[in-house]
Amino acid sequence: MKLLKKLLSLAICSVMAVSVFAGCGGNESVSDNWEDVSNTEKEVTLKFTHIWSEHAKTFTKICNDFMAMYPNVRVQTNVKSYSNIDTAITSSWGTSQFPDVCFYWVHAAKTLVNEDVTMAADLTDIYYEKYKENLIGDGECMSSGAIKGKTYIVPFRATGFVIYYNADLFGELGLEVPTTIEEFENVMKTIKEECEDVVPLSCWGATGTYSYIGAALSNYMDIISGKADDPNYKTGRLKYTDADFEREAYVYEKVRNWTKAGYFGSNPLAGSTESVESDFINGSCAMAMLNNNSLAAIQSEMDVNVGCISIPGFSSMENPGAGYVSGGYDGFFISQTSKNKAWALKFLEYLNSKEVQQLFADNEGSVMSRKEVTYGSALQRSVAASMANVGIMGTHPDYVLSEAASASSVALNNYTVSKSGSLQEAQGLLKVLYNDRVTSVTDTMLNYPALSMIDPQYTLNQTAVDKYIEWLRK
Amino acid sequence: MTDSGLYKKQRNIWGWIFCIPAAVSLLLFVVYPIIYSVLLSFTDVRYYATSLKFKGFDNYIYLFTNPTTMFWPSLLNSLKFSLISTAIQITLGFLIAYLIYKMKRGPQTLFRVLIYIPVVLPAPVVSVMWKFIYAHDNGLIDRLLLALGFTDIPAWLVTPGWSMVAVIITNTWWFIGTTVILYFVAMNAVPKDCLEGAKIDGVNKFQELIYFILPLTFSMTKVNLVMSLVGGIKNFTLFYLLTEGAGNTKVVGLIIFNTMYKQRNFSLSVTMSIVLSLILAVFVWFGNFYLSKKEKNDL
Repeated sequence: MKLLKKLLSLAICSVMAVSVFAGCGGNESVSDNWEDVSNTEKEVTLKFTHIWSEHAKTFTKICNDFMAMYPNVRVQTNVKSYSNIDTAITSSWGTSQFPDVCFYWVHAAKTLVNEDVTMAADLTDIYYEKYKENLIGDGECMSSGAIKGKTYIVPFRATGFVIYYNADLFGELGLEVPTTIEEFENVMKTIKEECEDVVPLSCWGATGTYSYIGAALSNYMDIISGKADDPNYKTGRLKYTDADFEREAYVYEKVRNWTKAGYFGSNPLAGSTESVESDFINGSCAMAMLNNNSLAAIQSEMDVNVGCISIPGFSSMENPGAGYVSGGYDGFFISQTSKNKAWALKFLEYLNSKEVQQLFADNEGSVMSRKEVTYGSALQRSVAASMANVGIMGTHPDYVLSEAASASSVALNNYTVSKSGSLQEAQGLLKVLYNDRVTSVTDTMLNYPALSMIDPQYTLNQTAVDKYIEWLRK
Repeated sequence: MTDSGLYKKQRNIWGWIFCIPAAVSLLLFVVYPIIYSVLLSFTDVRYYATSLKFKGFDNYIYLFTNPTTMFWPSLLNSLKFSLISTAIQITLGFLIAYLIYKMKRGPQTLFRVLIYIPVVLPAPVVSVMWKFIYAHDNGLIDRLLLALGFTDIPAWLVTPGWSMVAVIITNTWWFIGTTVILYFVAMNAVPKDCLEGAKIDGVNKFQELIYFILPLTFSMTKVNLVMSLVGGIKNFTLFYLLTEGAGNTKVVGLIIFNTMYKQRNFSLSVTMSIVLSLILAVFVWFGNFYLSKKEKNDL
């Protein structure tokens, strides 16, 4: 009896210990089985991950419709948050929990693709070449995320930071919608002078929308000077000279002067998307730099007329009204280790079909990646027009930055809110940032294999630069 | 008559057999990950160990010679946070514990519960609450200061200098309950006859606190000090949720997290964790050694 009791206790202990392993999944090796989808008898479960709990209803309808079309397929949806998608992807990679179809930003594809290990399957031939004509910019919205000529992430909808403005307030103050940066500055000045308690442009964060103002003006310098025409400009690895630092310093001094004048509120480093949205909705600011996908929230809460623009360009640029929109495209990739690649591709094609794209645009107010999508309200059409250039201006760095470089970037934005400063100080900070960037590029711990900085080949347009600097110095 | 030698042997065997499941779990979930992590720190692994290339001490050399990782500046930040936070928590915790110790039974129970409530709150709740308090222009503190006529109010969570102060205050509020309870227990363990004898000898309340309560609760000070210092250096959650490294609050936990999940450099982040563990181990050993020596000398 005693022996039986001991054996029974031992068995229970062992079961408890073994059950600890219950959550462990098996390792997945890289597979390449793009099998035919004509076998509709085979039961398939597709694991699908996205980050939009606010669009859960629409995604549920999309998945249900897909499952109705293909009864042998079950789409298992998992919703992660915006801030922990990277953690979720990294920790599930190599396990059976890694999704077949997963959300990621098209313009951030480099973090999924590595010399040794690539999380995302190459979709160049099976998707990009087949469907690029259906996409915005004839596929440029997808090729902007290309790594060494290969594309991995299919764009689903545009995501970028536009400026929503209170059209009624503009009307009251007799303001025209600005089409150049000079007009934009005058608009901010007028609002500041006429409306004491209204912030001209609400934005936030050293790594948030506040930093896009400097980025926009810096971009315009690149276009005006001719640097943006350099064949290697997009890599973000052009070598700088002292003249480059001098020119850039004027940009950040301008942002500092605007900040000092109170155009962005008392402390634009503070706040969040929610606080900026709230300020715009309750009338504390005349303009707000927000993600274009805030449209639905703004439309439902505001009872004034709202318009949308991008940060307009300098008057000497070819099409200043097109402006600068920081961002790119939200998209989906197929896991390199998916065992249901062909069905995953089928699902991806369905997500980017005309019907689904139109449904999403109508239900969620998003600006989609497909050309033929039409937009119901005037505001939505205005947002779509502003987003036409999203992610096209500026560089698409093909390298990862170090922590030191990120800290230098924050230091530069901290400088622009300081009450005292000088061109020399701005130049010094830009040099530190540049040196950190050079170190990141050549660091094999960060970028493997290591890259190198490239000698510029463009011809400087000094006259145009002098005119821009003259305005920056005002 | 029982053969006690055989009986003991049988008991021992069954004892060992019953240990097996726990030992296996410990080996697999504690020992194995530590050994595996140490091994990984000598390799070049990005996302996952699908291909291991032995690199020798390259990761360690990189960590010690390359300033771009920001590991050492962030460790300094963590140390600063830990030292200041510990000093405040130990001092304040001791004084609050003494006040509660001196109360009558009813109020004592009430205040013990109240002071401990923040400790049981999860990190996300604490950070949401304090984000509201620190919110720029609309937060509780800013509203109060604006009502009092202040105008140039910093953005608490993003301004260098102030952001660290904000996290220290939040951390102190969150964990002071633990310090207070530990000290309270230690104060209750002080022999009553010792204190009565001191009273008879004419010792006043301040002298009783300094010459009796403080030295006799020194062992708890040792525990609180080590726990608080180590916890402070390792602290990640509050920084991640409250400031995300803004201001000057990039601490070592955040750097390790970013290296792992943003840069996807698995082996380097593991190397950082091992170096941090070794530093903390030396710290704890030294701290215990020094404080034990001090305690022995005082006795």
